Amino acid sequence: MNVISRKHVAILALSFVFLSACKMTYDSLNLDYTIEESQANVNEGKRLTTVMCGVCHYDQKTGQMTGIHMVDVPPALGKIVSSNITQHKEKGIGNYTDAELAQVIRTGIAKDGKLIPFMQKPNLSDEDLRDIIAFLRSDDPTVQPSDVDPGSTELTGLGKMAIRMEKPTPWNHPISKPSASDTLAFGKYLIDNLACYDCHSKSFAKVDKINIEKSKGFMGGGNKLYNKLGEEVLSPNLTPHITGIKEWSEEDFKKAITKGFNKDNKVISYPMPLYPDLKDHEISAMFIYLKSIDPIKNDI
Amino acid sequence: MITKKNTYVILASFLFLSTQALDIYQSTTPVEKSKDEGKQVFERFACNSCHGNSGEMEGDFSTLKERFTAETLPEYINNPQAYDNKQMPVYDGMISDSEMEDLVAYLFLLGEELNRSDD
Repeated sequence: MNVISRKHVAILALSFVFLSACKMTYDSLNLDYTIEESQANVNEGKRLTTVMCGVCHYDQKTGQMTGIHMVDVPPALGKIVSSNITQHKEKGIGNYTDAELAQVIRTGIAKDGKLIPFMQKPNLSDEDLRDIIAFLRSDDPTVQPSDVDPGSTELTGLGKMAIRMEKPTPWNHPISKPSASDTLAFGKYLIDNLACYDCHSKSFAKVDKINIEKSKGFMGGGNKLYNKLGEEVLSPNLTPHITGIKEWSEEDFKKAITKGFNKDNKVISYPMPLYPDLKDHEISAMFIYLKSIDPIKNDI
Repeated sequence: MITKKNTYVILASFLFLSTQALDIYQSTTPVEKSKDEGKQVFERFACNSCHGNSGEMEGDFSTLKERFTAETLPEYINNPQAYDNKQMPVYDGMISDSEMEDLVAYLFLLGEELNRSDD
């Protein structure tokens, strides 16, 4: 029968209300924020930008932060392209104010109001945020104006729906950086802001960006990613379980994230980025933190 | 005088040499052998996961010979971070000399094939 029942009407109405509630653009927060350049450490900003932003924004071909096609994202969501974050006024972030940069990094709301949910860092400290912005404004060759257009993000229906389900993360201020002597807190801070939890937890759709430990299957691996051949790659389990890194030493961990070979000397390839710019005490804190979290049995 | 015994010896020698010649003819040429072994190394170290199965993706293999020699390419592969490539694994200590030799020969071959396909 072609009769539209009450049930159908109710479902349609609910769907309409649900989709209306989900937005893809948001108002600017109009933050009162400018960086104190005299306090900023541009060299540290470069290192932080390399390890936190460069993985997605640095293009080996141009040798600049001109953006790339993120082929590790599930194709069902569409084509995702990271932005050109050089100082170019039209193609890059040359027209962003400090407040707009801080807003997009912490909350995901871009200058034009679009939500960019892939890169939200709500817990990034004031100190690191300041250094990163100072670096993006610096005369470093990797961020000089470039009109390279990395292409456009083209989401599928599913991808659009997934974005609509995402929300801006809150703007918290001030946020202090944990002391390196507080090893567990410092290690967690790095696992959070290097976005390790994003790929190494159960699913991108089930991560908690504000309290990362509440992410489903936190650091237990099994998230579906893709290599550059389009082949599915499951993220490894990094919890202290026998199916994870229980038997790994700190040296094994360091070799894995700086040189790309695991405990068994098997190559770790794309989409896992390498972090040769991390300092030894940072790698150590990350490892100690990972050894402290709840073990999850998940043999990948 | 050709005795029966000599005849057998000559016949046996002829048969032996014929089979050897056939073996040589049918066996893989050194270039093909190196190509197969290089391909195995290329895939075992998951080079194809970034560079593509034919070297058509990351790294621009078509200009490999312009940028490297058989001596300098192993240096790059062993420590790409020294060349400001921070995303390629560091193969130093992970790959044997003979594997590296096969791999480098194979990489150059892929570059040549890419150039031929462009023509």
